[in-house]
Amino acid sequence: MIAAGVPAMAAGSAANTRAQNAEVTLLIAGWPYPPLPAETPEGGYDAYQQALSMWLEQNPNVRMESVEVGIWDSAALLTAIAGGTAPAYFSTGVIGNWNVAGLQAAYLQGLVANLSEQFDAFAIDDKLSEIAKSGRANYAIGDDEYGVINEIAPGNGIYYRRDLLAEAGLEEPTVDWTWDDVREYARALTTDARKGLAMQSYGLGSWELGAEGLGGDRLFSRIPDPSSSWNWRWDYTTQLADYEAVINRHRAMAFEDGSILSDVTSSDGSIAPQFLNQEVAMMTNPSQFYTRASDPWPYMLAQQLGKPMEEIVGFMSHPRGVNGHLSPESRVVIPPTGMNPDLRTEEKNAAVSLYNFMELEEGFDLRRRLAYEESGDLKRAFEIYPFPRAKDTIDGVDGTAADAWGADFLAVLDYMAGVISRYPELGLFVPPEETVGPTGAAWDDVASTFSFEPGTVDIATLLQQAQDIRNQQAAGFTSSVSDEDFIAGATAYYQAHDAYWAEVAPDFYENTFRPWYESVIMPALGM
Amino acid sequence: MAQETVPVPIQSPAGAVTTQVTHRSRVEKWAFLTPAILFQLSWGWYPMVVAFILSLTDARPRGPISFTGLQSYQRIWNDPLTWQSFQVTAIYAVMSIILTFMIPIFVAILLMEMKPRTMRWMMLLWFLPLSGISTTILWRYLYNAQYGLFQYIATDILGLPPQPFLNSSDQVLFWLIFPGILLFGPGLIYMAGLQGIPQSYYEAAEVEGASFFRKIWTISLPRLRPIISMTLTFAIIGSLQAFDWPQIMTGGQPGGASRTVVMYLYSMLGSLRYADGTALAILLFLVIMVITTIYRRVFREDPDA
Repeated sequence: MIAAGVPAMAAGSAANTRAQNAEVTLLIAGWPYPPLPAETPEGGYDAYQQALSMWLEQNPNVRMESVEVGIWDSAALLTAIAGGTAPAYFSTGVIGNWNVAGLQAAYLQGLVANLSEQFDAFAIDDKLSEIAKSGRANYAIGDDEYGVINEIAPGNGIYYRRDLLAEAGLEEPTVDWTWDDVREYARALTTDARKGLAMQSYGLGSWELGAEGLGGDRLFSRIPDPSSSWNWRWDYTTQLADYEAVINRHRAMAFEDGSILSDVTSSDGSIAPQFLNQEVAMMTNPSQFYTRASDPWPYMLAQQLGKPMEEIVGFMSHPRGVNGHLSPESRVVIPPTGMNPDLRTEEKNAAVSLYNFMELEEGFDLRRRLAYEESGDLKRAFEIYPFPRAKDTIDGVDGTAADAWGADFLAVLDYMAGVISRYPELGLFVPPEETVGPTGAAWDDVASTFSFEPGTVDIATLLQQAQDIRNQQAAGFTSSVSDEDFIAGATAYYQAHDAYWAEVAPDFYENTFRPWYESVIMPALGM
Repeated sequence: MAQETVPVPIQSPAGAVTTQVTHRSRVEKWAFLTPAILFQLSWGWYPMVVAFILSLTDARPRGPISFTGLQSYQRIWNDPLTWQSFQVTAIYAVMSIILTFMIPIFVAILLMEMKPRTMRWMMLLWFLPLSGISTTILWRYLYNAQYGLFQYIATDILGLPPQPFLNSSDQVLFWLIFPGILLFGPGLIYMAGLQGIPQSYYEAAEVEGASFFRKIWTISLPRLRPIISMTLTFAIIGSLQAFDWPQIMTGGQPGGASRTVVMYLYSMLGSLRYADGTALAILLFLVIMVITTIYRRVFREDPDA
């Protein structure tokens, strides 16, 4: 039992991590732990509220108050942080632009509380799952931790209608499928009333080219250049033939096959209803939606059709590149929960204590057990899986995640966590920048032109244009990392890639990665 | 009861007339003006001055900041996407003013010729309570290149080949502005202005043998000039700051063809590049000031000028 929210401290621990007697008020902007209602609801507290009231009884010195702050609006949240009126918790992705470089820049700029002391005091790292820790670059810089993990997004992939695949006589995809396979599936599943695949507006740039390691800031596109002021240059033209193959395939799917449902307004939220309404047979979306029972996603489609979800909806990680490259888009994504940088130590202790109780210890078990008892549905107990914590079972619930979601889906998650998530993350090797540098707008522009512009598009010219713009923009920035540190970090980063590809994709390693590494990267870093 | 602030004429011994504003009326004048001035200084001028100062630093929400001089200005000046966004903004502004500002003038004039009942039904359309979000969802559906209503009209009714609508860099700005045409713009303000024109002017013109278009040119438009001048000023400023609609609908795509200056500025803030975003905002401010100043000098409001 945790007394007063802080575990018993080993001798010699810093006195200022104790908060037993300090009066603490946590300001909450509705997420992730809304305060209890002023009056007990008619039917009594729900599972979450029962767990929260249990923690509050254990921590009588802590009060929780609701505040109105737009924590999902980056401008509103930044204003609150700057003005000292931020709530206790917020999602760091909102101010870090949902990418590692942005998150780390936000940490360096002091926009998020340093939680290293609390991580030690509550032994958070020991309780986190390996999959959670694989995303460490999202919530830490070196030994300093800046966020806790409420949810894990185990990676992006493609949802597909199992029943429609079977009707069309198609085999279910495996982890080794490619986008050429996707094209065949999409074509076979397209009818007058239905398209084969729904994709976000950024699908070509992110999913298809990402599968080959091309475009944006990906492996073959962002090259270390310590001689420049920003330390990086962009190259979108050396692998022109590969770009053309991918882009022309996508355009054939869109304009010839007519198998893609996508336009410039397509977003995560707009394509999911298309899948739910059976306007498409496949959709690209994050895997975490497979395990949500309370959103209008695959689970509700199965309910609509009156069949078990396992019969209707399948999920597979993103296809590999034709060159054998694994799509890093299927890596674990962890949007960390950050805390107000103005919190006093005792307030941080209380905030992390609440998190520890609710997500890693008895509060989590209590909430999930009560949800299971209320619904009788194991999916409610194992909702939003995988868990951030290492413990994979729920006290008082007889069943496992495999029983809830099916062994097939868990096998895909294991692959994404065990193989794809080991894809080396730059943020773990190269010291972070204080500013993010040039935006990716120039790349987004050409990617959307390739995706949607009718008629003929001059791929080579547009790629050259994007490359020139990004390099011209980069010339206006100066890196905050010394050349020495950059070279050391980048060298370690590419050596990690060298080891990774040799292990997980030997053909890709021999035919594509290693020749490129020797001819482009090693000379650039003086290796 | 306050004294009137009307100046009191005083006849001097030499015969010249002078005025004397009473002390009390001067106090009243400043008492009424002071809150407005303070408001304008606090919420208008002060943020602008601070923004300019921040644009000369490595601005950040927390922590110490350093003076960096014109570094941010240099960076955005040398950024090709800055000039692309200005170009998009200029095209958007010109199209927007022509389509959603000029056209309503003539529509308002024509509406005034209709029967009052017909006019009331037409005006009812413009007061439909459509929320911002439902409007967005509606127009996304209408423009969808695969199953949208407009595509159905284009292909099945008009027999045209499939149209890209928002997916084409050539067409995207037009289709973003199109809903504004239907919403009638400042047309209601024009109608209010037209109703203020004495009917005797038109009767006199008819007696003189003036045609319908002659009456519009010599009576309606000159009488609307002050209203047009004011609303055009706001239209210029507003269209050069276009953000909400293109941001929600297209995010600046395809190919950056719908990315306005404010959208680009917003993306910089989202990337924690506060100084660069602020510098771009200052640059936009200067451009708007110049354009508005030129316009105000060229366009006189006096209908009798």
